[in-house]
Amino acid sequence: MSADPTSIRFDQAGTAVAPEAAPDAATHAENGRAPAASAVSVAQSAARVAIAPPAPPPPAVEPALGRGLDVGTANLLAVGENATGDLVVKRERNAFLEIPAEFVGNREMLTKLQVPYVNFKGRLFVLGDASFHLANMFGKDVRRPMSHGFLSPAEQDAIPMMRFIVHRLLGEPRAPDEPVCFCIPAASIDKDNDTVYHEGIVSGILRKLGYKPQPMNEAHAVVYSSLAEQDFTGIGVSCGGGMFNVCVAYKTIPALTFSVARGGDWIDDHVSRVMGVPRTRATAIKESGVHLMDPQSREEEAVVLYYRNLIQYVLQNLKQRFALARDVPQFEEPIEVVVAGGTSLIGGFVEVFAEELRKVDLPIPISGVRRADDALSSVVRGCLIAASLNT
Amino acid sequence: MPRTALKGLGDAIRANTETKTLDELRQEGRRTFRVVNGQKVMRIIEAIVDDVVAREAGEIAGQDRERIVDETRRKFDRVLKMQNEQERRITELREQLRAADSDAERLRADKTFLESQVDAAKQTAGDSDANRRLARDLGRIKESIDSLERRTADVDQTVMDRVLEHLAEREARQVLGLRDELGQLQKRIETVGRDAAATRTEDIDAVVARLVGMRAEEHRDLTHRLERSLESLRTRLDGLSEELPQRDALSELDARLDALEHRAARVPDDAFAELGERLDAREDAQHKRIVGGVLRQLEAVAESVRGLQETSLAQREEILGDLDRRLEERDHAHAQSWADGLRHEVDTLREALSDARTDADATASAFADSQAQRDLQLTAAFRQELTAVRERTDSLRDLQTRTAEAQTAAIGALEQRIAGRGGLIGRTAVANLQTEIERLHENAEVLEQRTASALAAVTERLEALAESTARHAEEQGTVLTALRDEMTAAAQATAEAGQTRFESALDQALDKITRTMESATARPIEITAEATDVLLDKIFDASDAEMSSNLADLDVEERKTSTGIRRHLGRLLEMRGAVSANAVSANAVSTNGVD
Repeated sequence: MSADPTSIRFDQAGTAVAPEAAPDAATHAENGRAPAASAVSVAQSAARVAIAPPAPPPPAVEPALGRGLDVGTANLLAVGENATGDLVVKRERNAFLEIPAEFVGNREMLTKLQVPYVNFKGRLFVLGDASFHLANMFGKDVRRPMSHGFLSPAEQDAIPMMRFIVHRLLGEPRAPDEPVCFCIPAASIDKDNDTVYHEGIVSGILRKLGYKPQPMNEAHAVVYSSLAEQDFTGIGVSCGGGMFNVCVAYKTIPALTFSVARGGDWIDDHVSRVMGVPRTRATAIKESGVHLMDPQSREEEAVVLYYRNLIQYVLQNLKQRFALARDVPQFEEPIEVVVAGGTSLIGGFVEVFAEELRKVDLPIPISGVRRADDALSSVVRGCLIAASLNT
Repeated sequence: MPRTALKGLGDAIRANTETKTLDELRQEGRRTFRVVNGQKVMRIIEAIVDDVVAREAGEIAGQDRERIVDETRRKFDRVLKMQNEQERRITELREQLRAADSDAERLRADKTFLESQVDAAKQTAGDSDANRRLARDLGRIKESIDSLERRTADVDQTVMDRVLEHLAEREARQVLGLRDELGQLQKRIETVGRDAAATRTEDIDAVVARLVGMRAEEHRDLTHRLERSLESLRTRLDGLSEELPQRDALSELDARLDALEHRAARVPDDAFAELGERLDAREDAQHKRIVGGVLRQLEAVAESVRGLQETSLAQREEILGDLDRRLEERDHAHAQSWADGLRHEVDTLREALSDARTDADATASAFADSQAQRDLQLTAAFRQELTAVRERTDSLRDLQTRTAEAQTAAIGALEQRIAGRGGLIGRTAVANLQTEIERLHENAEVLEQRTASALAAVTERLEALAESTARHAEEQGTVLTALRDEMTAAAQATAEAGQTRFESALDQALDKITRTMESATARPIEITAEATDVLLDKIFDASDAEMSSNLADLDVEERKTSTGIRRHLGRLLEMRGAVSANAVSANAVSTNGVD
């Protein structure tokens, strides 16, 4: 049984070479599933294609004030540096639930039960993960302030709830106009949307909370947090619940960015549909330790099929964007692809991505594919880096 | 008509009326009464005048109008006075009636008393005290009558002039009647006394009974007369009240008649002005009503139009959006179909060109093959003939050689024979042999000459054949070359034309596709905006009491990450410094369009 590789390098012939084992193989054990055998025949030698000589270690820099904020469809994350210099990542589920006030006689009991609530204009809302727990109790569905990466136009209470959740994560600014860099998706190529309203509202909320907002492309943040050794040159892919964001960067500058309105939720929807199971069941299957290279059941096969289809979709569109774009740089040296986000945590994701990448034959040389370190916080750390630059 | 002309009416009404309270009216015995309001009267008069004026507006002069108004007012004053007088008279009559009633009542009471006295007198007939009491009662009645007379004398003389004519008469009649009755009563009393004095028998009862009956009858008559008087007074009062409208109607008729008399008069400017003002006022009112109605309708129409506009705008936007999508799809489809068509055309051209080339090549090859075949055939024939000639020549040479060898061998043998046989046979044989040898030599020479001539002829023939073959080949080559050149030129021209068309079409298609793709993939100008404070304040418009939470009391899920950012930050700053240095040194880093 082989572990889930987090990095796959390509040799000059385009074949995979020396996958690196997943650093947290215990994840599979925690989920009760042992890592499955890989179906990819890879060379066991330790040959690696040298791309460029390692850069000299940069001088140590003391980060100033600044926060990073990942405004995701499923989760909101915030990161900042604490007094001891450690990065502390805070997470809250981007969901809420309105409950009738008469059902809650004693609100102090909610506090004792660690249920975060807000009372807004006479209405009582429960935020975050607790809303999922209470949804079943009240026979309601949780409400999402965001849909497909943007503020949901159909959700009237989206903006106030976002404000509360953001405030809960960031707290009070440590200094007036403390810079906060928040991620925004790129405009989708397969859905009619734009970032103006979403960016404007989030900026306004942050400014109201006393911060100085600064937007940043989500995939570009992945480049910032994961491609320092490559002089921030490569392809960053943020695999979120609502969408996949892609950024091709050359020395920190984003040369090509786009997004597709498909993500983890899209996979759940389709698996649920074809399998005839509830959506929550499809999500549970996906998060129960499936390995994309070794499905064990019909449901897992469906998950694998849609994952592979989604990756193909992204890479095909990336190839088309390269063909259509006129100002994409010519990479003389092979570049690396870094994937991040919760949807990329599934076992075998990097392998499947590498397979499809070889098939699609991009017009630029690729040295390999790897998952970002701490993939869940890659975007928010990239935002923190950008915010720290402006302090 | 100026309303000031009617101003004095109010004063006239007030001057000719008196104010009384309801209690006073009730004390007068009134339960219902007609209320004449000065304003109503004025309105009545104004309405009457307006109607008359409106009807006769074209023919009534201003002065006539004023005269009408004045006369109307005078008549109204008269009527009012008359009415007031009537009212007052009625009031007085009622008072007097009430007084008379009270006196009658008192008289009835006295009568009752007297009767009782009569009874007492009956019992104590001839009692002088009873007579004295009767006399005293009579004196009291007289006093009441006198007081009544005096009271009537207190009435306003002006009213008494008329009322006394009636009341005095009636009262006199009543007084006389009462006096008569009193006289009769006194007489009766006296009679009773006399009767009582005369007889104290059962006749007294009969007399008293008769007296009582007479008194009762007289009382009934009196009461009946009083009731009839009251009824007549009431009737008269009602009649007087009813006469008032009649009088108003009469005055109105009077005014109308006066107006009719002056119908022929010329209408002055004031009437016209008044009429005009009234008409203008009416028209203004109507106009205002109409305009108001029209405005309301216009507003409703405008509202509906606005709604329609909004709806149509929304529909228009939707349609435009749909149209844009469809146009884009159509453009894509067109571009695709155009590209496909071009590709097909290119493929067709290529195929045609290829076919043309193939045909040309085949033709040339066939021609060449045919020529080559012919050449081959000729050459083969020539070669065959040449071979045959050579073979013949060789054979002739071989024959010649063999003949020579044979002759030599024969000569040798002959010489050997000659040498061997001694010379006997030799000289003749030798001679014969020599002759034969010479003959053979001659034959050989002739044969050789013939062979040479044959060879020469063959050679000439072959040379001629070769020349003709070469000439033919040259001609064929020329023709073939010309044909090939022609076909090549034609193919090239076709190819060039096709290439040109293809290239131009391809350029157009690529240009269109490029434009389409550029428009689809064009990067818009990045404009960032923030939600305004107004919007955010509106969204979060809630007091602190309305916006509370327990978020500050609860911890958020947090974790520390081992992946730091300092390395990344340092590298970024380092690169920024390097870029700045390069920019300062004016060696811009360019990477194919990426700044």
